[in-house]
Amino acid sequence: MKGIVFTEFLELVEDKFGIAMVEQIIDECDLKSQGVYTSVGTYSHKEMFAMVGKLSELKDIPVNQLLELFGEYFFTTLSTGYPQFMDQPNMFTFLKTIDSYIHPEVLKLYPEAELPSFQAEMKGDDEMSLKYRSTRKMADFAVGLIRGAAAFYGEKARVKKQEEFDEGQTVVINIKREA
Amino acid sequence: MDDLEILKRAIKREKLARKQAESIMEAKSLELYESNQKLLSLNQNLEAEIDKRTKEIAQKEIEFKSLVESATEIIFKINTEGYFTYINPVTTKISGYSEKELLGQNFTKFVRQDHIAKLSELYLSQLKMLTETTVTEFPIVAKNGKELWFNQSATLILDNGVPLEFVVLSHDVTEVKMAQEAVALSEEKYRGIIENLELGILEVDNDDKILKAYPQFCKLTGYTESELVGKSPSALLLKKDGLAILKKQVEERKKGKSSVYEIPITKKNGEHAWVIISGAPFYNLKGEQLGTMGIHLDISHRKSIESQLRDSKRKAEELYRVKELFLANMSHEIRTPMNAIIGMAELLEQSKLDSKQVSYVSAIRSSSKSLLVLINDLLDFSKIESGKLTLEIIPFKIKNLLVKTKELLLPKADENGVEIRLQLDPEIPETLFSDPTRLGQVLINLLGNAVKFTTNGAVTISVKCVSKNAGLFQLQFDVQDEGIGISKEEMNNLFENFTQANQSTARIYGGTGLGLPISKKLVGLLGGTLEVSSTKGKGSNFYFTLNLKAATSQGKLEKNTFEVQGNFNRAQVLLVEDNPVNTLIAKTILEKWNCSVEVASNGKEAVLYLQSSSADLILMDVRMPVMGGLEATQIIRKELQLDIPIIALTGNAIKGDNEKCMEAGMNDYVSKPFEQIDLNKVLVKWISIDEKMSNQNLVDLTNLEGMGDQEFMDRMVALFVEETEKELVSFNQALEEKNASRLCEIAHKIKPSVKYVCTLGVYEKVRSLETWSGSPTEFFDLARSLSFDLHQVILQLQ
Repeated sequence: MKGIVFTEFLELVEDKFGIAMVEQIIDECDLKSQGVYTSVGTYSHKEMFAMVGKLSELKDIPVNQLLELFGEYFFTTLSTGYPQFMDQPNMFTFLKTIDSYIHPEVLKLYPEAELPSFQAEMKGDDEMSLKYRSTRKMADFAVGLIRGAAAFYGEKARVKKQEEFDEGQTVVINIKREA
Repeated sequence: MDDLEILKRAIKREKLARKQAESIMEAKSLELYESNQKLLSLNQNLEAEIDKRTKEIAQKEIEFKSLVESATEIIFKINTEGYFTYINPVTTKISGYSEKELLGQNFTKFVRQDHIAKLSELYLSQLKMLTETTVTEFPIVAKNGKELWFNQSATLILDNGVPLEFVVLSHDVTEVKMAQEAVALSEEKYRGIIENLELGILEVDNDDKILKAYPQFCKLTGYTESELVGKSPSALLLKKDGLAILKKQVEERKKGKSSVYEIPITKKNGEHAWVIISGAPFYNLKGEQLGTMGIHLDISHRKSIESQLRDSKRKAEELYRVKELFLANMSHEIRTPMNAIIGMAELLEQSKLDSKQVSYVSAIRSSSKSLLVLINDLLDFSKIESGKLTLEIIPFKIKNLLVKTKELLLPKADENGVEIRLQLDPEIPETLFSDPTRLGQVLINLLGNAVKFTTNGAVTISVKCVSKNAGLFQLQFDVQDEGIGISKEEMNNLFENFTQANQSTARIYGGTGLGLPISKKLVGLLGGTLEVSSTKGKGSNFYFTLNLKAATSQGKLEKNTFEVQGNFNRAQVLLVEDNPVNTLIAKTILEKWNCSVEVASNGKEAVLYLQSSSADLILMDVRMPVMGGLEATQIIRKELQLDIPIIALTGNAIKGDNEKCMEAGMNDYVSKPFEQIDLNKVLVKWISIDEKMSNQNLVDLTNLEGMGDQEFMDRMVALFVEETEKELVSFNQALEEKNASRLCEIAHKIKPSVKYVCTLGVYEKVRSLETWSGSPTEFFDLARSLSFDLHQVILQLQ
């Protein structure tokens, strides 16, 4: 998993719960990296799950909720850092470009990166069925990201997981745009 | 944990993270650098490679261009609209147009007007169908106005499936095209000629099946081509006789020989026609025989003329044979009475006659002899003409021949006041080889002419030795006269048959006009050439040269030295002859020669006679009633088993008659009418008489020799012969009349001269007869014996 996800996560924890919480999580999670992350590095996703799990335990917030929140937050980081990918007329159009445009660009910089796939299918003009596939099982993080995208494009959208397969390795996410 | 501690730890993590990031960056930088270096190096290699490739391509382009430019073929490119975009130098060279004149122009501008539409259509279709290559032939008009034929192959070049341009390759095939046209023209010409020649042409394969029949052949046979093709010409057109001819020809043709032959064919309508066929094998390009080609010409008309000509020839030959037979028969018919005339004249001459009668008889004899010469001339002539005359080369005495010739013509010479001179080169040997009969005939003829055409002058017959070489003598014979001569014009046809110097000659001098042609031919047979030189009014010289061999041996001499045998010592002769006149003549002559003669008038009688009696010799006529001579001879030889010599008396000169006689078993022949000497020769040959008798010398001149010189002796002998001949005629007459006193009288009269000329034996017979005291029968026998002896004495003295 890319280092930026870890740095942004710790940024968000520091932002929401204070630097002491960051220290506590790093202390209590026996991390191989010792909590030293750089955005250009690559680290095991297990460390992410360990830290999200620790936060959920300490603050008694469900993991999926935490991941959704982190996703929503992370989208703003991405849209700020990589505005060239955001140049799309609306959210649905943007979502369609993830597999065809954004991820191929990411692989140019990080050829070793393991990226999830998003297979988009329009259900009428305002509804999309997006099939998430990844061994990381982080569909909740994806849901947060989609909400972030909707906010970025100033659209109101109801985003919810519709179906799950293979213990969350494949998840169909339903997106309904609202007026 | 206080906040500071937390911050310190956070900063420491940040520092670590930064170092980690820096280290990652450095690694990335290095990686990037190395990648970049790799890329640079790759790039450089690529550039070098590209450079190399570019150069290679440029080189190839130069090569290809030079190849195209130096090609001997026309190569050009046109775009899809038909405009020239490239042309190689050959294009300009052949067409005569410059590059400037061609580039950018449409190809149709150069194509001959009548081919533009067709050619455009072809290339439009190629464009439409995207056909890779098309090949066609068409004429263009070169700049000099001449037409050139191109064989053109156009390849369509595509760019991503879209037509880009045509690459075109053209050959100038004008010469080929011209040659093809010339061949077509020539073929048409010969086809026309063949059709007009009325020659029926037929092509037949090796299995005797008709491949093609030309119109004239169909016309000739009456069949259509479809009726002929696939059929066997021999089965369809030939009958048995034609098939035999064909079989031979086919074998010849299989050996590759062409031949011309004639063959009868049967037409569709059943009519027959003769055709002449010239057949020859024809081959494919590999040299394998495909069949034979026959050229047929209808020669039925010619054949029918040929057949008529053959008939005419056969008729002519038949006529000729009939004529010859007629001639032979005529000569027989003439000879039989001639035989009688000559024989009777001879006998008449020997009887007691007064001087007038003697001259009449002499005239009869000489005329009949002339007539016989004439007939013999005619027969000789036809023998020479038909090449049947053969020479009998024997030794002979040339002097005797000349003397005899001279003597023969003396009476005529005396009449004309002509002196005959003989000149014989002393270098010439006494005896030579040749045919004396024929040589004599020539000399008699030439001398006869010389005497005939000369009046009061001299005629010279001379023989000169021109050269000699190892027993071979080249002799020139000249017969020179002082007669009327021959003009140059007359000389031209002097030796031609039945012609004389001029028409009046025959009137004045007589003759058949055969003498010189016969002489010329005889001289030719003897190996020389008879020639003449003459001056009109002064005389002529007939001359020829012969190469004669000297006879070294004194063996058998020519018959001119033959001495007549007058006593056959009562030899038994059976004379078989139906003609009473001939019988009388022959019997008289034979009895004169002391033969005992029995007569049979036909073959049957002869056979009957021989069954009971014998004979020493038989003289047999060939043509007789009841039984002929040939049949009788066969009976005598086969049935009677007798080998008595049989001599044929042949009355005619039909070729092969003498041979028939010999085949039948006869031994010899005498041709009628015969001179006595001819008969005598045969008798001498076939009758074996006592040597003492036959060769008995009855002449003894010793008493005379003592009385005077040679001249005296000659005169006395001549006188004796003259007187005794006369007395002998009276003596024989008295013997016939059985007048004994007359016989005694004559004996008394001749006794003194006999004493001086004859042997004692003869003299004793005369004396004994004169003073006879014995029986009358013995008296007459003695008289007859004396008669023979005296006759013999005269012959011996002569």
